[in-house]
Formats: sequence, structure tokens, C-alpha cells
Amino acid sequence: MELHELTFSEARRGLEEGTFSARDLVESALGRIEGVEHSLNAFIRVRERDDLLVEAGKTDAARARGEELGPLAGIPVAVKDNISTRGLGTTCASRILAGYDPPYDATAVERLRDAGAITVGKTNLDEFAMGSSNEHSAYGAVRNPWDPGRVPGGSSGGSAAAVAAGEAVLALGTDTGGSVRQPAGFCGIVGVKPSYGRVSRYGLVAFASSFDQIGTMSRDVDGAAELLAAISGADSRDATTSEVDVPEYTGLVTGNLSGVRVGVPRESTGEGVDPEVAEAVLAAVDVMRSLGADVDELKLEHSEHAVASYYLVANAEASSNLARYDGLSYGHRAQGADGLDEIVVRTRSEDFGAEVKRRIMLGTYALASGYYDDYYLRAQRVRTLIANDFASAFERFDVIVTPTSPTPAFRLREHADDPLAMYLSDVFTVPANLAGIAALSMPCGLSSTGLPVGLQITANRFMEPMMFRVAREYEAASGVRLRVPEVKRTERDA
Amino acid sequence: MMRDVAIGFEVHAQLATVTKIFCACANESGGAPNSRVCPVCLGLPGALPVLNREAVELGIRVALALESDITARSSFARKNYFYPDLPKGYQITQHRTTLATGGHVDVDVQGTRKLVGIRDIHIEEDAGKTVHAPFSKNARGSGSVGLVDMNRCGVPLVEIVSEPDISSIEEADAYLRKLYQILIYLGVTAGELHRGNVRFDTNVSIRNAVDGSLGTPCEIKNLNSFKSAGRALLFEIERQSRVLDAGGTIEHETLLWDDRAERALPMRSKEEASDYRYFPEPDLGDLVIGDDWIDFVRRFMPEPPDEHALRFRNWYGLRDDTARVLTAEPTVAIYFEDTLANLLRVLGLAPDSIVNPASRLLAISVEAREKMSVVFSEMEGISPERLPELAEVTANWVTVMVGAWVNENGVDLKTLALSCLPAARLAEVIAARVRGTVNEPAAKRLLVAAIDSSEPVDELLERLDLTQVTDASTIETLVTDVLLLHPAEVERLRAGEEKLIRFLVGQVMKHSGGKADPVLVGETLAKLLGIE
Amino acid sequence: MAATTDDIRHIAALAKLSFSDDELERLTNEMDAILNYVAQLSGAKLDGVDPAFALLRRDNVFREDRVGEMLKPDDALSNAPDRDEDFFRVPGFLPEG
Ligand SMILES: [Zn+2]
Repeated sequence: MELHELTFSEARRGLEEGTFSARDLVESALGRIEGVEHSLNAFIRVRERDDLLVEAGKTDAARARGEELGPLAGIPVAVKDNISTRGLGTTCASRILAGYDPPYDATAVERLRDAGAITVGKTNLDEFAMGSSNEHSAYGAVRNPWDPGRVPGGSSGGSAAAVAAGEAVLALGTDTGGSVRQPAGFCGIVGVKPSYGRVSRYGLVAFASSFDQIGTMSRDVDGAAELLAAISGADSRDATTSEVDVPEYTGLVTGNLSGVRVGVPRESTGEGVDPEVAEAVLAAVDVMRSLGADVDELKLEHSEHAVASYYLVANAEASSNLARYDGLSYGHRAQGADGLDEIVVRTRSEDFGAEVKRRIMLGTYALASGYYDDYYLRAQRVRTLIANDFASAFERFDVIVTPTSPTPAFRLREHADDPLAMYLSDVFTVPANLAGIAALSMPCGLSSTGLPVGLQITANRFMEPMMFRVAREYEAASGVRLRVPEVKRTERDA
Repeated sequence: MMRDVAIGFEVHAQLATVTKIFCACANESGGAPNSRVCPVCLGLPGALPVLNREAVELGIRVALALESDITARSSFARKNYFYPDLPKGYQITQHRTTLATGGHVDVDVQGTRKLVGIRDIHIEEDAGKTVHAPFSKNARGSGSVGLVDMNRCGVPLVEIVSEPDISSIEEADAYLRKLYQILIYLGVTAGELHRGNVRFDTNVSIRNAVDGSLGTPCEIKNLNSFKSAGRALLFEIERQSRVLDAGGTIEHETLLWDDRAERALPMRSKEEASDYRYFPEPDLGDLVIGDDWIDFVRRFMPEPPDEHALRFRNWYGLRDDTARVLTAEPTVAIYFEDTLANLLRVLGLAPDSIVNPASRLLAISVEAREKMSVVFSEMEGISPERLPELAEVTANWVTVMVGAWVNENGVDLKTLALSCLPAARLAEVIAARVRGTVNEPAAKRLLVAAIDSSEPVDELLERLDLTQVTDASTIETLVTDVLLLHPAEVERLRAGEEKLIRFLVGQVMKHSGGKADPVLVGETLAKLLGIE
Repeated sequence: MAATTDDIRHIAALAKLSFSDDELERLTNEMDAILNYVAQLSGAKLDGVDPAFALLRRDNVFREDRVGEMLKPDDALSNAPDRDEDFFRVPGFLPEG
């Protein structure tokens, strides 16, 4: 087995036991990047080889001296390029932030460093994290490592592809409506969206402030859990972080889920869900049952309204969050414009991509005088209903299991002319963001075409330990941990 | 013709916090451009606001002083609009629920009391500042360039929105001055108008002469002084009147006041200007203010001016007009009260604890007031008439004698009080006069000397030889000498020219080097001349 | 409710975006489809249901009033597209005349 094929747990054990060094791990990640980046386009920027090797060397030296090391010491981590990293640039895959280098680090990035992780580079995404395919990037589309003719999902498509292909052991993504879970599902890895308020958003470039959370990606459950533990917890710079204690997220496999109540919504396997996906999810539920879990069906009364509520509220917030990009004090400024107003309008019109502009328009519409009550306010009230649905569901269940997406990864440009169809593919992921609860996606098999199928496990707010427990037991019992795919070499568009 | 008008104000005051409202940058003025900024106030991607507790407490002070209802649960909202010195593209303010609602400002207009209603009080962030530069090395196309300084971005503001209860320019002026006085008094703002610490927007509408209904209001922004507010109102009332006189109707407009040109120009009427798309700020939780917190703020809050004047009357028996003069500015009021406390101590009428420095720091807070009232209740050996008398004397010294010196020398009272003439020193000067150690002219010389040097007051008295001569035989000798020197005047006085007594007293005073007790001199003269 | 090109043009002005006529027409159609989809929300029973404004937020989170780290002017201005010494420079600020 090659080093780039190791999961987090295997890589960490190898480092601890001295089987290989952090330098070796970094070399292997860089080698893999060299080998597959041309096909995948997962990274926007990779750090200088020498800098990375020096950093890894320091970790190895510290380990040799017997110093106490952080839980992620020497582990190569990729960071989505909408998370601020001083000196590494942060573009959000948008032309409007071309060349922008934040003068500060996001809290999550500081914590990553404190935990000893080595940031290998910044990953590609749908511009400003708006999209479910990673086709909307000023740096070109990202390809799915399992089939370069297909999308990796989005918006954390770069992070998902990088981890799935072994370009990094772990990655940070961000999840506003499924942007960690859906690409994790499409790429066959574990992706976690923590409860709202679990991880500081300070330094995460805002898309929809009341939905955004930084999430973690790994090829194994423990990697995602360990990375989450490292970045979680209250932050005095983010007033929306919670002061609820951060418990242990990792643990031993017991082979036992007795007493754990698993809810399966009817629509999980219903209309619009690919039969192979439904089958894989039901098989996963069977595994849980065989471990002793109590499985029952449940009905989330208002889930049919989730996508509509999400797109109105999230884009309303986005329209305001993206108002700051005017080319005046940072970022790119349109040239040749005359007069302040024209400069602002031209900068925004030329430098935002079509999807971002569409969402700004929709969000502006939802807040505009005369529309506010019918769109934004109504959507916020429906959001309450959806949160209430979950509150009562979690009185009966510990976790809720659904597919992550109704289908496996779709083809590039499949939804190019139908933005609404793309939005509807988020039907299983947006409810967790609306309610602020915890959810993860993990692989539960491959389709007949060889594409990963994602299983979503949702738990109540701050009940990550329960979510990880079920995921860990399922991972061990099912044996469904996907290999690193061989990436077919393809020519990609710029 | 003069029409009935309805005027309302939005008064913005920068709060005197140490840091900005949502970040830890210093809230100061001056200094290099963009030297007090951080990712939060620059609106950098990913930065988030965290509310400054002190800004809330200063807002609560204002609400308490205006007797507004403090909202138990209020929230923040985003007001979306584009402007170069508004780096986030929105201002964080309060909209749906504000810090407080209701309340009033009591205004005195030519002896008549009027209540101006308050609609709401909210806290929000200030924007940056743009300096217009006429040309630039690489300016393109038309127009000049703007140079943007974000130091002011995020400075906390309290906005006080009045009802349109004001019906004349005089009332408007009285309202603004009174509200300003209250804000200064509460210590919530530095209040330097020339620095834009306090700014006014006004709205004006004209009442229909026939049915009494209010016309469409127009808004004027950017008023930076009482004078410009008055001028802008006059301009706007005349403008609207002309339109109506010509049979026209008033369209809603927002005008920008140009102080130099003394006119208001319509702001460019962009369609977006009218739609701020307010929505709840998702980055900040609600502001929940309970009774405990309100009580805490009240305890350490300076007294508003009207209550302050009332307390001076009740405690010290001051006349109403004296109390008002003293409470026009908190500096004067604090200085007066400090001086009086020290005077009572120096005269042995009150224990030393009356000038407990800790209580003086909180000079007019509830805490200090409670301590003071205890001291007063324990004061012995002071008659009911004595305190008002000493209070009036002290008030006279502070406002007239010290006031004159301050005016002549162009030094402000606060500086004087903090440097050469602390209240304790002034109290010693006054005590010398009250005890009769010096006479009136000598007391004035003593005051100037006390300001000019740092010698102890009793040493000054000695060195300058200012001690009043009250010895009867010395005065009799002085009087006899003067009578011998002015036989003609003595003759005329005896013949009935009574005003000459003053001439003779003056001569004796001069003869004594100004030190004789003038009352005793008068009495001695009368006695020696045998007149009543 | 159908979105018209004029509505979309007004919204674009609010959002400081401009579109060509072709773009505008396509955008109008796309937004119309999305607005039709979200119109389903009017079917939800919302009597007595409050909006979820404060669903996930904490009340009364404060900073103490103490000065913290500020950026050095060069860091503050390092990303400026245009600067004039320590100022951000924005062109065409004053309207003509
Ligand atoms: Zn700041």
C-alpha cells in the first residue's frame, strides 16, 4: 500500500510508530498532487514544496526529541479557499478576490496549526461556495476522482476530491446547504457538517451567515472526528459560537448499537431517489439494525418546503454578505470604468460568475420592499417549522438516516441550463442547515457504474458524539471504506 | 406668511467608549488615516462583529435620562446600501426592535416648558470618512478622487429619534441644546461638535392651514452645529412655503445641507436609496436587558441636568437661577460641589470624609450621592441658614470670580480645576474670605496668586501681606490720619454732603494698603465724626 | 407572481449589478422559475409561527471595552486596488458639475 492510500488513523499510527515520517507523508501527498492534479483541478494553490518539507521536518524533529505533539501532528490537510489563511491567499474561487491575501488567519486555521497539522494548499470550490457541482469556479471545474467525466459535488468539491484521491489526508470544507456532505458523498469519503455554533466562523468568508459551518473531511470517520475536535469550541471573535463543551468525538468500536434509535424518513427511499441509492441506504440501515439499533420510520412534516425556505433565506443573507465586494478597498477592481457607481457595478458584474449573480439577485429580491413578507419572512417562518419537526423527531430518535443526495455524482454540465434542478439535488442536506443540527455523509457502497453512494447520518444539535458513534460502528461493521480510486488521466478545461 | 411647521430630529452621538462597537480597535479621533482598523471594521471577508458591552450601557444611560422604555429584548439589523466608506455594504443598526422607545426631552422656550416626545433610541456603527481630493496622479475620467479613511468605521453611535413635536426654529434650537446638554452631562459622548461627535438630521413638514393635517416631510442631513440646524430649518421652511404658495405640492426628498453655501441640495435620488432591505443581523444575538442590568447602569450613572439642579436646590438651598447656572455644564457643577464640600471641611463644618476622593471620582453618581447625603445628615454645628449662605457664596466664586479669570485667560475650567486650582485650593481661598481673614479686593488678589503659584494659601496670605486689618485701635489711627489730611471734605460732610463718607472710606482703605476691614472703617468714621 | 424584466432590472440596480438585455431576459426566466418553485411556501400553515431569526444565536454575547490588536497601516492597505499614502483611493467620487 502506498502512503497516499492511508486513512488518517493509519497515517497517524504510522507516524507514531515511526514507520514513516511527516516528511514522507508530505512527499507522498505532493507526489500524488503532481500525478492527479492535472485531471482533478482540486487545488487553487499548493504551498511551496520547500516550505512544506521544512515544516514537516520540524514536526519530525520534535517527535524525535519526544516533545508532546498535537493530535494532527504532521498530517497533510487541505483547506478550502474560502477560509482565510494569511500569506496563502483566499480567493473563494472568484475573480473578484483575485490576488486577495487576508491579513489574518481564520480561527479554524489557527487551531489547525496548534494541532500540528500541515496545510498543503487551498482547494477549489464553487465560487463563494455557491453550487453543488464545483463547476462554478473562476479556476475551472473540479473533476470527480472516481470518474473525471463527473462532478465531485460542491461546493467543497476541491477538498473532497483531494481527500478522495489521496492528495491530502484531511481537508476543511464549508457547509451551508450540504457543501461538505454532498461532495463527500459523491467522492466516497466522510464529510461532517457540525452543529451550528460548534466551529468558529471567524475567517470563513460568509455565504449565508446563519447556515455556514466549517466542516471536516477524511477517508475515515475518526479522521473527520479528530479534525472536528481540533477546530471546535467557543471563540470570542464569533458571537454565534456555542459555549457547550466539546466532548470526545473519537472512540473505540464496540460492535454494538443496542438502544440507539434510528429514524428513517419515508422520503429517503421514495420518489426521486435513485433506486441504487435507496438500496444502498436500506442496506446500511440493515447493518445498523444488525448491530442492535432500533429502526423506525419517521415523517418530517415540512421537509418538502426545505429547499424553498433554504434558497430564500440563505440567498437573502448572501446578497448582503456579498455587498462588500465592490472593488474599492480590496480585491479586484474593474478597469476603464468612469465614476464611482460605474466602477462598483462593472466590478461586480464582470467579476462575479453567473451563479453568484443569480443568487445575489434572488436574495435581493427576497428582501426588497414589497417582497420581504412574502419571501424572506415567510421562508424564515417555515424554517421554524422545519426546526420544530427535528426537535420532535429527536425526542423519538437519536439519529436520522437518509441518502446524502438522491443520485450519485452527475455528469459535468448536466444541470448547466437548469439551476433549479441543481438546487433540488440538495433536498436531503439543506434541512440540517436550516435547523442548525449535526450531520455527516459517509460512503455506503458503490453504484453499478462504480460511483460512491453517500449515507447521511443526522443528530440533534451538539449531539456529534452520537452521530460519530453510529458512523464508527457502521463503518467497522459494514467494511465499506472505499479505496483511493485510480484517477484516469483526462484533459480538463481551464 | 408664517406657516405651522412640524419638525423632528435624528440626533447621532458618538459614544465615548474606549473601543469601537463591534471590534477592539481604539475609539479615538485624530492620528494617521487607517491606523485604527482591523479585519472587522474594514469589512474584510470572514470577519465578524462582537458587541461592546459599554456601548450598550451608555445607550441605556441615555434611555434612562430621557425616561424611555428600555426594550427587554432588542436585536440588530443590517441596513443595506453602497457607499465607499461603508466597507461591508451594510450598516449594523437596530431596526425592528430598538434599545428603547418613548420618552421625552423637557425643553424651556422663553419661559414656557414643552415636552418633545422621543420615538426611539438605538445603537449602531458609524461609517468611515471620505476626503475629496481635487486631483490625483492617475485620476481617470470625470470627477475627482476620494481618499477613504476607515478609522471612524465602527465607532459606536447612539441615535435619538424624536417625534415631529417641534413647531418652531426656536424650539428646535432649544431641543437640540437641551438634548446635547443631557448627553454631555451623562458622559456618554465627548460631544465635540466640530469633530462631528454629535450630528443632526432633521425632517420638516408644513401643516395644512385649512385642515391641520401634516404635509409630506422632507429630510435634511449633515447638520453639524446648532447654528447650521437653525439655518437649514429656515431654508427648508422657506423653500416648502414657496412651493406651497405657488400652488405646488411637496415631494418627499432627502437633502444634504451645505453649510458653506447655506443651502440644502437634493441627494441624488437613486432608486436604491429608498430600499435598505433591512433584515435581522445573523452574526449577532439578541440584546436582552433585564431590571438588574438597568439598576446597575442607573447606580453609576451621572445625574441628568434637571435632576441635578433640583438636587442642588434641595440639598444646599440654592436659588433656582443659581442652580441652573451651575448645572449648565457638568464641569461647573462638579467643580462647585467639590469646592463646597472642601469649604465645609476647611471651615470645620463637615468631617473630612465629605471629600473622600473615591466618592469625588463618581462625583454625581448615585453612589456618591448616597455617600454625600449620609455626610450631610451627620453634619453638626451648621445652622439651617448657614449652608445656603455658604452655597451661594461658593456658587458666586465659581461662576463669577473664577469664571471671570477663565474668560480673561482663555483657559477652560476643567483644565484649571485639574491643574492650578483644584477645588480644595479654591475652598481655602473662599474660606479666607468667609472667615474675614481677607477683605473683598484682597480675596481677588489672593485668587489670582493662588492660580499663579503653588504656594500654600496661608503662606500666600502672609507673603503678600493680604491679611485684613481688623484691630480697632489701628483702624482708629488710620481714620484719624485721613480726617486730618482732608479737612475740607470733613467740613462738607458735616454740612450734609453724605456721599463724601464713601470718599473718606476709600482714602482710609488706600492708606491701609487695601487691607483694612471696610465695614469697620465705615463704623469708625461714623463714630469719630459723630454721625449716625 | 411572475417576475418581469422591469422587476429584475430594479433588483439589479439595488444589487449593483448590470446585465445585457440577453442576460436580463434569461435571468428573468430563471428567476421566474425559482420564484414559482418557492411560491409553494404559501401553502405552509404559519399561524402563530415566529420567524427563525434567533433560532441558533446566543443572547447577550459581549466584548469588554478593551483595546485589542489593530492592523498595521501597511497590512490594512495591503490589498487595496489603489491607495494614496495611508488612504484608500477611490476614483470618480464626485458627480460631474
Ligand atoms: Zn476594528
